[in-house]
Amino acid sequence: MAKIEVVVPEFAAGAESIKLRQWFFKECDAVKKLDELAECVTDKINVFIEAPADGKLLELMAEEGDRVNVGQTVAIIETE
Amino acid sequence: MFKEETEKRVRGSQSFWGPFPVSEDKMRTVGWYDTGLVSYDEAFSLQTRLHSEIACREREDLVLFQENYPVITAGRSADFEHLLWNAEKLEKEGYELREVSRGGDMTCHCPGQLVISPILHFREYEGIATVHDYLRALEQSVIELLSLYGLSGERREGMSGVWLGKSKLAAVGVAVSHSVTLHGAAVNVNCELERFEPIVACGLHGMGVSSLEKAGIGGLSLERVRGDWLGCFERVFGAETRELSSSQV
Repeated sequence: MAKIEVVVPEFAAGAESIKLRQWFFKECDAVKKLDELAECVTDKINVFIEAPADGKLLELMAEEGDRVNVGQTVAIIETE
Repeated sequence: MFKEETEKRVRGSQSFWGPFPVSEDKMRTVGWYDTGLVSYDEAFSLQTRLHSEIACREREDLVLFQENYPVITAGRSADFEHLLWNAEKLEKEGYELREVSRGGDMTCHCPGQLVISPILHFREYEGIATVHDYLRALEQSVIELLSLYGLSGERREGMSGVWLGKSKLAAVGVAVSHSVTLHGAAVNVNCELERFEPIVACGLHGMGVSSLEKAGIGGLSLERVRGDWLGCFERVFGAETRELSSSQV
């Protein structure tokens, strides 16, 4: 088993402020690669954060409503 | 197809973004389809399906055009204090109300407005690495569209969309899912601007809404504006476009 970080994607760069609006999964949920785990918003753009791998959503490291930054780890996935 | 014509007609416009020279062998082909006048739900259902197919590489990138029956859409940053009418009045006046997955606040879609939804693998276009780059390119395509008509559209710091003076002429709000864009821009061509009365448009108190017609550019059909914008899109994004038939979508 390995632990993989879920980060705010680089392509979200350039926004003045990014807010994590909503989680679609909770801790201990099984997720698959490319599942949309969370939704982030700026004033003009809505971006979904995808799971980088199959596994279990081990830990959420940001809460709904938090301001987040590009490259910030927002969750940990434990792979099988 | 539209690029050469647009090159001749875009004169004196300051290009704040692009175009980025693209060699012929790297130029993408992007399909386009116009639904005509439809309900928001019908158009978004189509957009969602096409987005899924494009994300899975089952079809090429595509721009979807639509014209909607009156609808108020609330984006992910919407403040419902900016909705000035209650549900009863909206229904009585023939509006639908939808919460949607794009960024931004409240806006209105209605007849006479050209809604443009590029569904693109945006990072695969020259000079576009981030969603912010894509947004700037999309705004630039609308700014260049306005310049074709002798209008000086501009961005405003801290405010979305494309502006003509103190009035917004085009709203912009996008989403990215599986690295493919959704939603896009809505250009007011000849719509009844009273249609925006139910909302504080885009959450901006004291700022107006305009249209090409109000700005003195009358007599334009949505089809004409669509064609002109496609030329600007081809130039800014370094792509070629081709029309798709209904059987192809």
